[in-house]
Amino acid sequence: METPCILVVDDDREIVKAISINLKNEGYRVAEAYDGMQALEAICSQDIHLILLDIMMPRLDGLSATMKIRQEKNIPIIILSAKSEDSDKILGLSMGADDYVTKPFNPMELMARVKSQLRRYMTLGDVNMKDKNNTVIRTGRLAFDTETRTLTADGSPVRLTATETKIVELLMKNMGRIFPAEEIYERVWGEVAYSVENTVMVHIRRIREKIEINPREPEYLKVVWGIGYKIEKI
Amino acid sequence: MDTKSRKSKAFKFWLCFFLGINIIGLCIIGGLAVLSSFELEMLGRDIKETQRFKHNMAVKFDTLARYITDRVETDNLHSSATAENSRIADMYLAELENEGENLIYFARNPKTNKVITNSAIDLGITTKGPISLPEEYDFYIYFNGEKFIGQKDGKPLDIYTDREYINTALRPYLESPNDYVVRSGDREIYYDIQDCQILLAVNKGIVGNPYGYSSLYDLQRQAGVVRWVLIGGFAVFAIGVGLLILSIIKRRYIKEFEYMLGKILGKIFFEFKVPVLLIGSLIILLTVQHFFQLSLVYTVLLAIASFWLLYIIRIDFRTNGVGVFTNNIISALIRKYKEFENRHPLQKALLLRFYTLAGLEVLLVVLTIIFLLMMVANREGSLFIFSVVFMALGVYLFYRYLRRYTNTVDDLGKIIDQAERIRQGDTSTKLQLSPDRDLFSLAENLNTIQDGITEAVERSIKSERMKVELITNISHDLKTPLTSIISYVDLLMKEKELPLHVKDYIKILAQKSERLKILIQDLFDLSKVTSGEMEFEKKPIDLGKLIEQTLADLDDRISESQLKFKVNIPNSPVPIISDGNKLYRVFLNLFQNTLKYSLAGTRVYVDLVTDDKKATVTIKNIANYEMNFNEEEIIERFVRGDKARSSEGSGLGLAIAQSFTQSCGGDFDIEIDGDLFKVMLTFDIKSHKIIENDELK
Repeated sequence: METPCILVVDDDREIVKAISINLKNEGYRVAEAYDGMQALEAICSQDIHLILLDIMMPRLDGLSATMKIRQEKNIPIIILSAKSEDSDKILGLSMGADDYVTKPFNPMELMARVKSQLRRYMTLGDVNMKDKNNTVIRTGRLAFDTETRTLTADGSPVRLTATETKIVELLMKNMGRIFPAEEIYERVWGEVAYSVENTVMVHIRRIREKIEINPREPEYLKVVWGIGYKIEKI
Repeated sequence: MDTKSRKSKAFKFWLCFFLGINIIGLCIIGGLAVLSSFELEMLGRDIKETQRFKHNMAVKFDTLARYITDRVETDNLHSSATAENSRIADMYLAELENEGENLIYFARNPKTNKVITNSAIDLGITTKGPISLPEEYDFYIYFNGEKFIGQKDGKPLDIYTDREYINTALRPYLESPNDYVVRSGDREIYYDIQDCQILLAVNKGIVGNPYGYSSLYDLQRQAGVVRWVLIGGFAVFAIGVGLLILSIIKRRYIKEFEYMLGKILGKIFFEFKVPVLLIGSLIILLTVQHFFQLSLVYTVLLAIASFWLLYIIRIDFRTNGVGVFTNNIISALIRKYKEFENRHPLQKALLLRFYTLAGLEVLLVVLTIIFLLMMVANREGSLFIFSVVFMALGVYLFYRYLRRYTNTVDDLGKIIDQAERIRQGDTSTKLQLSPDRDLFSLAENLNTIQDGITEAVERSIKSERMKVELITNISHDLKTPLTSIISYVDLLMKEKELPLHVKDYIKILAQKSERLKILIQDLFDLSKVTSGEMEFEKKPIDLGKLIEQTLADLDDRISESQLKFKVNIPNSPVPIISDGNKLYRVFLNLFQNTLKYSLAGTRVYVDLVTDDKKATVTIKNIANYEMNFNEEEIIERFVRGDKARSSEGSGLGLAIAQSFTQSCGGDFDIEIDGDLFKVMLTFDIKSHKIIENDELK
C-alpha cells in the first residue's frame, strides 16, 4: 500500500510547517496549501488521502472548501480551528467534516486523530465485509462484536479486562442510554450497589484511556453529569 | 418678513372678496330696481322705435287732431274760442313749435279750411297721393283723411298692428278715425278727423333747440344717459364679479385671512360677543320683516350688513368651536389665576387654590345675601337677578375646583401605578398627562427617567455584546499564535540531542503555554457567561450524584494529595434542574482550588444538606496561605489586581464557578473565617418524579 498523502491547509505557514514536520515524522507524505482555493487545486492535482483544514482563511474559507470537496470526494477531513464553540463544531461536522480539532491543539492528539481517520478510510472496505453476520455493534471508530465479545477501535482490537468488557458490552448494547453507576455495578458485578461511584468511575476512566484518542475529552464513553454514563452513538 | 407679506397678501385677497360681495350685492339689488323702471327699453334701440318716442308722437298727433277739430281740451270744453281756450291751444302749439328743425307738422281740416304747419314748403298734402318730404326727414306719420300711413328709413310703418302705437293716445284714432267718443268724467268728447290731413315728420338728426324746449331732443338725451348709466352699472358689476372670482381662485389666502380673523375673534370674550350677536340678529329680523316697507337703499345695506354678520359668526365658530363660549371673562380670570399659581411650587399652589376658593365663596355668599336683603328692603324684584348671578358664580367656581381636585387625585393614582411599573422594569409604557394638569411635570419627569433607564440598559447591552465580540476575536487571535508556540515547543521536546538545561527550559515553555491555553479559554467562557451569551441546557439531574461523579473523576489527584476528603451526601437523590456539564465545571474548579490551596494534612469537608425546598452544598477547607482579602475580592481579584494570584491555572476558577452557578439557577457564597475557607452553593429542589421519569427515557 502506498504511503498516505495528507494535505495540510492553513493560512498560518508556521502552523502548516509544524504539522508537516509531525506528519513526516510519522511517515506520511505531506502536501501544503495556504487557502481554500489552493486546497481545491491540490486535491485535483494530487492523490490526497486526508485533509487538515483551517476554517478562517482568505479567498475560500474552510467550511466552503469542505462543502466543495464533499461534492466529489469522500476523503476524511479534519477541521482545525480556533473557534471552540459547540455551535462551531456542530456546523463544521454537519458540513461534512469527519473530525473537529480546536486550536491550540496537542500535536500528539492531532497525530492520533489523523491515524484514526486514515485507518478507517483505508480499511473501510474490510470493515463493511465483516458486518455481514450482524453481530457487530458499531459507533464511529468503535466496533463491538457480540459473539466474540471483542472491541475494535479503527479496526484494531482493544485489550479489555473481563469487567471492562462487561461494562463496554452493557453500554454498547444499549447505546445512547444513560446508566447510573448503581445499575452498572449491579449488572456487571452482580452485587447490591452501595457507594459505588468511585469504583465505576475508575473502570470508566481505564476504558476511556484504551478507546479514546483524548481521554480527557472523551468522544464515546461519556459521563452524563449528575445522572450516569453512556456510550455515544455516532 | 415672509409671514408679514403673506399676511398682507391674505388681507388683500380677502379685501377683494369683501368688495366683490358688496359690489355684487349692491349691483344685483340696484339692477333689479333699474330693471323694473322703463328706461331700459331705450338701451340699444333706435330712439324712433322706442315706446317713449311713439308715445311722444301720439301726443303730438292728438294735439294736432284736437286743434284742427277745435276740440282743445280744457276745463270748459264747449266754450270754444274763448281767450282761455286759445291760450291753451297756443301753448300746445308752442310745444310743437319748440321742437324746431326736429319736427315738421302739418294739419288741415277741409271742413273749416283750418291749416296749421311749420313747413314753408308744399308737402304734396293737398292731394291724396304720396307726400313729399325733405330728404333729412326719415320718419313720418301721416293721416291722409282716411287712414294712417307712416314711414321710417324709407320703410313703411304698419301703425295699425304695432301694439306700442295701439297703447298710446293714437288708439281712438286708430280704432275709429271718425266719430270717436272719449269719456272724460261725465262728459263725452267727439273727435272727427274724417278728411283731415295730419302729418308729423321727424328729422334724421335730432338736435337741441336753442330757442325752446324740444321734447324729442330731451328724449334722445335721456336715452344716452340711460345707456351710460347701464354701461357703468354693468362695468361695476363686472368688477365685482372679477374681484369675487379672483378671491375664489385665491381662496387659500381667504381661508388664511379667515383663520387669522377667527383667531382675533377668538380673543374676544363671549360676554362682549353676546350684545353684538343680539343686535345683529335684531337687525336681520327687522330686515326680513320690513323688507317691503323700507326704502330700497336701506334694505340693500341691511341685507349686506346681515350677510357679513352671519359670515363673521360662521368664521368665529369654525375657528374657535366651543371656544366661542368658553372664552369668557370668568375663564380668563381663572387663567390669570393659574398663571399666578404656576409661579408657586405645587404644594403651595394647592393650598393657595383652596384659600382663594374659600375666600371667593365667602365673598359671593355675602354678596348674594346683601342683594337679597336689598331686594326685600327696596321691594325691587330685579335685584334678585344679581343674587342668582352671584350664587351661580359660586356654584360654578366650586364645580371647577372640585373637577380639578378630582383630576389631580386621579393623576396621583396614575403616577403611583406608573412608579410601580417602572420599579417592575417596564420602561416602554409612558404616562401621558395633559400639560394643564397639576402633576404634569411629575409625570414628565417619570417619563424622562424611563427614557434614561431604557437608554442606559440599551447602552449596557450593546457594550456587553461588544465586549463579548471583542473577547471572542481576541481569544481567536491569541489562539492562533499559541497553536504555533505549542506545536514548536512540542517539536523541540522531541529533539533528543539537546542539553539537559535546555530541555528544562522547554519543559517550562510547555507548561506555560498550556496554562496560557487554559487562561484564554477561561477568559472567554467567563466573559460569555457574565454577558449572558452562554447557553445553558437545563434538565433534571441528581446533585448528589454529580458531586460523587466529580469527586470520582478527581480520585487520582485526591488520593495523591495529603488531604482527607470528608464527604457527606445523602443516599436518596437530590433532584435539581440544572445544566450538568456546567455544574461539573463548577465543582471541578472548586475541588481543584481545594486541592491547590489546602494546607497539607488537613481535612476537606464536602456536605450536601437538603430541606424541603433547598439543597445546600458546603465545601470547607483550611487555606495553606494567609487569606488577606475579603469574600468579594477573592472572586473578582482577577479584575481588581491580585493579592493572591497563583502560579498555575487561570486564576478565574472562582469567578467562573460563581457565574456558572448563578446561571445554572443556584446561589454562590463564600465565607472566610481566619484560615477556614468555605464555599456554599444553594439550589432549588425540584419534584422527584420528573427526574425519575426523565431517567427512564
